[in-house]
Amino acid sequence: MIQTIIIADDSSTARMVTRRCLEIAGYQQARILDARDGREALVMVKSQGVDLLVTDLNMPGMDGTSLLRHIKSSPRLHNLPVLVISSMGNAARQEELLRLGAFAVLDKPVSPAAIVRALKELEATEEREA
Amino acid sequence: MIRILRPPREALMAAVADTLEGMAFEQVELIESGVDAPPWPGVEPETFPGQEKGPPAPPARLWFCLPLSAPLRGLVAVELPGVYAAQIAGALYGPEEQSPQREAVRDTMGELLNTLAGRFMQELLGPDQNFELGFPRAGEGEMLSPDAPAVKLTFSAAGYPFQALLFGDHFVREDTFILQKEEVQL
Repeated sequence: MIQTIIIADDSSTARMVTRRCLEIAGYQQARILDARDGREALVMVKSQGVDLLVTDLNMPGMDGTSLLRHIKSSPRLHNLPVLVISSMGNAARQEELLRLGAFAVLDKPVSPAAIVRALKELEATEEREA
Repeated sequence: MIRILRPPREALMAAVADTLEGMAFEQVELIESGVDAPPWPGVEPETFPGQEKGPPAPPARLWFCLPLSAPLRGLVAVELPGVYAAQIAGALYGPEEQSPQREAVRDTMGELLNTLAGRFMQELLGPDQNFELGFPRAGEGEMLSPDAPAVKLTFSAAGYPFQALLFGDHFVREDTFILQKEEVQL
């Protein structure tokens, strides 16, 4: 069950839109935390019990791809599900991000329906693997 | 070799329409399309820092620009009435933000431009070629004079005229861009 979610995006507008989409998608009871870049998100992921990371790609400092690499190469964090929401997610990059370990890559502007679909697929995958 | 799938002007038109409809729920209408030498953004330091508190009257004109870093270098910009930018931010932030603060307006327009630039590059390059974007900048008033020409599209949405601009030699030299889908050496 997803109880704590981190949204990493340098735009407060994008974080607000993603938060609303998550709430509409049924996660209004979850604790949703904001991170303004990849480094801040990584610190939060390491220090808090997090069930889902939603990240942008194009952020100053540590970008979303580096954040994903850090998480998936960490023995302690590599099971954390990572959802990428970006305006740079064409097919070639999607493939690369999925290979790096993201469970889904969504285009901006994101919709609640797209988030619901992605999280349902994640749940189904986790149930199959349990 | 960079493959250009459609003329930059068409890609920009599609990106503006998709982005405004997807983010601000606005139908846009193309009023004018041309190659022009408009003022150049990005020389003057930011004069719309968004640090002020409270909702003062929005500036008459605002511009927002974002560098296209790779594989083609250029700049995409939007110039629009301040009141329309505030309206877009208000629509996104909801009814509790009827008069959004400057920081919210700037951030909303930066995010809109980021989305628009990504859509533009996807329209231009297709699904198989990666691209890189820079970070948005904002300014107040008229943009400064450049020597570089730009592709300039004038739209209307919600009763406000606004411009989408595309700077960069590759984009402006339209004779470089063949209208049929061929590989183009840039």
